[in-house]
Amino acid sequence: MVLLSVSNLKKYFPLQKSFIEQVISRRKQYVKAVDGISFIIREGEVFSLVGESGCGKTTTGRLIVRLETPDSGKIVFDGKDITFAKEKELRPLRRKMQIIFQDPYASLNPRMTIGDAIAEPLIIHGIADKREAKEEALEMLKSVGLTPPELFYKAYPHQLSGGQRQRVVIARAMILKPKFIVADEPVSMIDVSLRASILKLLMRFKKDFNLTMLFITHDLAVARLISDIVAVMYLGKIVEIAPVGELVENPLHPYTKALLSSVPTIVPQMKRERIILKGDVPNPINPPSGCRLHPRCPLAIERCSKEEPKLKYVGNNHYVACHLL
Amino acid sequence: MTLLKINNLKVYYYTRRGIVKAVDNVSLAINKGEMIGLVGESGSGKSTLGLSIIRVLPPQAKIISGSVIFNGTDLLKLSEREMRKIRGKEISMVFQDPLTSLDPLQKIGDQIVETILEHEPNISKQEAYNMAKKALQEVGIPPDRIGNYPHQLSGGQRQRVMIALATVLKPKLIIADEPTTALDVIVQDRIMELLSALKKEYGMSILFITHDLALAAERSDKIAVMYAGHLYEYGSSSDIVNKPLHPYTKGLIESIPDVFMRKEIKEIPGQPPDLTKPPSGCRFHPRCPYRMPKCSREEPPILQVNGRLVKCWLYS
Repeated sequence: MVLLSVSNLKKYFPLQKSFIEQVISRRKQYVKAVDGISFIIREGEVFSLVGESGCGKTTTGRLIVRLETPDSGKIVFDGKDITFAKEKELRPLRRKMQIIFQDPYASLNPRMTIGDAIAEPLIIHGIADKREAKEEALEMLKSVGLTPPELFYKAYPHQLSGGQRQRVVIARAMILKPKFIVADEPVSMIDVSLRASILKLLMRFKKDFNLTMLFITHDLAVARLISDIVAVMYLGKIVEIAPVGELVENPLHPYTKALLSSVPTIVPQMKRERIILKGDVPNPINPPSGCRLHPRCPLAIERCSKEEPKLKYVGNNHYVACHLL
Repeated sequence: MTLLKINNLKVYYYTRRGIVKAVDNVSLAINKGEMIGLVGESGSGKSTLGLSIIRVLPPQAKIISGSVIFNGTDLLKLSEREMRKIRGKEISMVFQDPLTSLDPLQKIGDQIVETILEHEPNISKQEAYNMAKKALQEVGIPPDRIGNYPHQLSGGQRQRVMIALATVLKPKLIIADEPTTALDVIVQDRIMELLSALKKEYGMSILFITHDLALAAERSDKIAVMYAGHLYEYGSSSDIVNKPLHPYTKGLIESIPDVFMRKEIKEIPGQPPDLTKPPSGCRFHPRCPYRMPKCSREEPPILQVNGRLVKCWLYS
């Protein structure tokens, strides 16, 4: 069953200009952060958005939980159109969808104890009274591995390490037993030896609660571990979607191939031919015409600069947006 | 042939919380033309080790004992004036964040020219300018960019400028401290490709400091693994990755996912220690699945096992 469907979603951010620039030119410029993307996430699935910084993956996550309002397109969550839903309509939905941010240092109130931070959502949503909320928070602390829970309940964020804080953030998101979680780079600020435990915790919750997840990452190795389906983004567009194994073994888009041939691995014999892209990622204010990769793509043909490729189905649940296929 | 030899180096930080034993009795040799991947988590002492070599430590850090023999001289015994002649010419450094290392008010070409003239007073300004142009070209910055300021370049280009600045005088050793951590994978791959090419072309040695074991393994000839201020394993990259000996190295490899291999990941239990009160004996013992009573009592010696060094009681 489809839990989330996104179609033709767009978000442009107006560019901040200095006063003088505003006076001289009347034309407003926009950063095309997300420029017409569509995908679905089925119940119980982990769907990863991967791409380099600036590709629009974080904006997509924020649009879906409606921390941002889209310019156009459609977001349907659990059968309800939430594209332009008002704050009041969103509140009951926030019980069902939660977001985990990258930076566990910035996501916790430094003046609130860990226990209160975890219990707060239960009280805000009127699910439990203070005593019940405390009990549930203690239970949750145990389940994210912060033991003894009584000790951690009274601790403040500054007394915890980055890995422990991220566990608190996960506990707070999970205490409402949401159906759906957006996890935005949840391990990229965590030390290497502690990443595994955070990833395993997320995978355990996914299994135990049949959680559906939108996982945002720049790290393809992490995506390989945690996802069922992966979508690759480049300059505000999705260029390829496929089940994770299929994507890694049979990448079809030149950009996906280039990404995969740059990822460090301890099994280098598995690496495929190197695809070298020319130059750097262009400015998202004036993205290239046609296929956005064409100025950098070694395989580009004339059509690529003129016509934008659409996502095409190529079998095996695999979609690619490239004229060469 | 050995280019740099670090012997029993101890570097401590004197903080309000106490003495942090960041680098504690570390020895490491780097051969000519070799790239060594120095791998560890934050707080392992890997950056401190790199900074000690060219003596640019923060004021609260103190080199307690040991020696750093470079080309026959002990760098720790040189005066600051003598040391300045070595920095940038014989040994240079590339940092993680090029924005904080480049002068924002000076054109990139001028910054390179300045470095050249500082070390080579006999070179004319015009010659230095040509050298700067060539160095930029070599790292893939088009010559017409020579008059650009750092803010006009992308993150990857800035790091290329840093590398041009570090390599223009063809130093014998480059210390690259997380040079690609702030960059996206495709850019990272190209920067690493560039460092490998410079190493090959000029026979430079590179101490590549990173938290990314897979990246170190792909690019370096040898890998040194640090944990909590100690060096725990040192050997060829393929040996370390395929047959890790130290339980920490093993744990690290088992804990990282890999894109080309669907595998279970295993976590290393516990957390890195507070280095103001490091664990007794082997500093990894509280997290080690193979620990023996001896491990908490006595610090293990560095042992030579199958052509590599490992600091663990399991092999004595």
